[in-house]
Amino acid sequence: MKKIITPIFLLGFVVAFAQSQTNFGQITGNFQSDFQYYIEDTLIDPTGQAFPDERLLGTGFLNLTYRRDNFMAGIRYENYQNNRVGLPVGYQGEGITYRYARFIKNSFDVTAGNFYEQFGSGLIMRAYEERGLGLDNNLDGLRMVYTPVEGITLKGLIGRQRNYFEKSNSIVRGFDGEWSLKNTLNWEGYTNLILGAGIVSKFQQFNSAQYVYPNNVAAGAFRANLITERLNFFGEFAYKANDPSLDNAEIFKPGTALYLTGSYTGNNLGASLSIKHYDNFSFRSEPATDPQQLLVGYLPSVTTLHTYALPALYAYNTVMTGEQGYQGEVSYNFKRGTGLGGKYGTKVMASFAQSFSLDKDYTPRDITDDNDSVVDQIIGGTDGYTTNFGIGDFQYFHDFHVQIQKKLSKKWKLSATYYNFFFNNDALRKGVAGALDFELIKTDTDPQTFDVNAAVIELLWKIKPGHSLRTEIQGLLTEGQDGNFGGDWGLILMEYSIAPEWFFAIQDAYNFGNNIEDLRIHYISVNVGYTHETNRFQLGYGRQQEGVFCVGGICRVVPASNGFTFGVTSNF
Amino acid sequence: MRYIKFLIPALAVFLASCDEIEEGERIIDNSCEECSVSGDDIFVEQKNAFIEEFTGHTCNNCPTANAEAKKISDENPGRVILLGVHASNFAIPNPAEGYFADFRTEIGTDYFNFVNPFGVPSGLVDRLDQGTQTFAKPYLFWNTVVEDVLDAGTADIGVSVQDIQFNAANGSLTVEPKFKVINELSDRRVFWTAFIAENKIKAPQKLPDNSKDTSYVHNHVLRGSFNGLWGQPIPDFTGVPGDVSCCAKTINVENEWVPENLEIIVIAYDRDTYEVFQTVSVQVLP
Repeated sequence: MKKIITPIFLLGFVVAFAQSQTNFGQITGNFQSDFQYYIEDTLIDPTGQAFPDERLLGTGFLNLTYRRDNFMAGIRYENYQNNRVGLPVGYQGEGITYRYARFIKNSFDVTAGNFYEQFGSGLIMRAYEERGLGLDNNLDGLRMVYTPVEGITLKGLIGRQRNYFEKSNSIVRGFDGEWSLKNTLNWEGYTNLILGAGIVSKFQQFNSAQYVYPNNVAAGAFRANLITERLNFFGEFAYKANDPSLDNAEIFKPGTALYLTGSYTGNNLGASLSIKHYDNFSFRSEPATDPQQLLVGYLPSVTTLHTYALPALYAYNTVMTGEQGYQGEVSYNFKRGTGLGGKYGTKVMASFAQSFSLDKDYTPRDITDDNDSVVDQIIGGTDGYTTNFGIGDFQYFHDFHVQIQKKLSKKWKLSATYYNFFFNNDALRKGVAGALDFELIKTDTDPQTFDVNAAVIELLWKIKPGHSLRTEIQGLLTEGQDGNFGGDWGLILMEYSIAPEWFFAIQDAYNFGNNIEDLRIHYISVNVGYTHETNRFQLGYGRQQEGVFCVGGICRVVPASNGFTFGVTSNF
Repeated sequence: MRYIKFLIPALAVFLASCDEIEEGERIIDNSCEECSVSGDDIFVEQKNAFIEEFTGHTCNNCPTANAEAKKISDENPGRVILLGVHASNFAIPNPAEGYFADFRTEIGTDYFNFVNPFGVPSGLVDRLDQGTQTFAKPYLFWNTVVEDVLDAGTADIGVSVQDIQFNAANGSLTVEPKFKVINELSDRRVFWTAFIAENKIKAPQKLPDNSKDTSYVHNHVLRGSFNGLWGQPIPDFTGVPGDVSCCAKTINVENEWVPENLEIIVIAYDRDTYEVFQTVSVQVLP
């Protein structure tokens, strides 16, 4: 945080000029702050994990961006006093966590300082922020983008990743080239073919007591994207050299990742199919770190990210060390005036996604005692396994859901969704998946799994201009060993909005199917929000049930809590 | 465009830097040769201090730091063990200027890179303060820290390095250190490392006035290790006071080393905090 002085001085200088002469550029920014006051609730939180010593926790950030002509500079100040329960505890304290200067002229774009970046679909490089997860793996270093001719983009970068308020000890270097043939060759019409390739290498120094870790690990990928008027096909394949880590039980097998996706839109029909095959492809700049930290690559989850509270409990967590699967989705918009479309039209969507383990033959090594008797087998220090073509021993997940959206009248809109999940709890919440499937195979243990059925009905009633009432009715039934997240739930949410300023919401989540009778309780919460111009204030109170927050296949479990919440967001 | 066709392959080669670890080289050998602990073993239980000094023969300030280390050692006879780690640019041979010697070692360079000191001369005292800016300390700080370390009186682990076998015929050198838990350490991961260092090596050294001393005597020069940079776990370690264990390791003495000038330095340390619990140094040929 010693480097705070330079950007503040820079921005102070700029602000002074901005106030005196309007042609000295423009400053924009946004601010957010969230507070939570915790009330002890021994019923839902017997261990006190959601009742911190501080009682009141608050977090916030301020982004400032300055622009003038070809120049940009920005900073972000973050404050965690301390981080709210359920978010990574590594975020503690305050300081400037993001500052950069960027210059774009002609075909050259240079950034010095912090930056985000993505190569292709992100298999080998995706530096991004997902604030809700506490994920921010931005790079601090140099980034250059060069466009020598129309349609060709070359990128180079070097830097170290953010690790909470520190930086990773490892250096990340990357280069990517992309060629858009339509732009270069002046193709007419909609058709375009975009080809790309990239390479990323990390330099790490990790002192393992057991294994010799490689200091330099490289990964490369190539990709192609064909775009026509109605069709879009994208494919990317990546390879990574030996990269033992705590994620993959310290095996030395090279990793591969394949991601294919295709979609069609037209004639009221939308259809897409995506396929993934990730084999030992967890790619972090340090081999031992917290789950959401220091990710260099990103593996698309190829599942739907559900937004309704109860289905979202069973969100998918990508198994970076090995999985395969697919997702198919079809939607059709029945036009108004047709039999199924009725007076206002009807939209129907169905989706099915499934993920499995890889078909693996493990190649462990024996651990022997003083008498050379085998006492255990482990895969650490070996290639771990060989991969075969086919489905593995374990299903990790399936998600089938079908949704109907229909406008019933000028004042009423209906959305109804049915969900069916198969959920491998050991794989997706405890991390016993991918390379670590070996632990289950070794002990001949079946993973803990659940079958889940859920339904959500959402009704929107436009009472009068500017006034609307949105109602959600949700139900979720869990079948399986011991239940999960308390088993069966019902939820009703009513949200009254007075556009554009006010909203009032009340929610009751009832855990009627909890195995523990005393925990068959109502989680009631109320919220009120007020928006004035670009400022928004929100106040809440009540019990919040345990939940899972997932983005892009990375998940975080938030424990049940009780108390007040207050949030402010502002843009300027 | 004409630059790009050269730029891309150059970048690709640079970025492709990748270390393939072959199958037989992946696992660190934590095995021990046969050893035993007997009632005759004498454990050094009085706490010693360990100074690891990063140095180099073209570093003109290093002789001053080296003299400071020797002074601290002389003022505390037998209780301050020194190890000179020749690493960094200042340790690279420079024949053009008459610095022919190459005292660098693979483990020394790895250690230097791991510690990442602000420069040379600098040093670690009992590997204290890992994770802080003062992990590597300027030489003016060493004495104060050493005094604090020695004030502890008794070490948490007693170490005995009485059993050394050197076979002059084939050059094999075996050390059999023994460890005795003095204070409760059951929640610690305790490792041991045995370094080999050489004394009385005459080789040029740059002096503070930038002149060259061609007869400079280098002492405690790190030559290698019996079990790698980070050593290995103390076998069957329980951390319960009174428990003893041992481990034996063998290396080959290289031709350029003078056996009469070799010393073995054994440390027992916390693998997580790097703090050294005890250090013992013995001559190979007394």
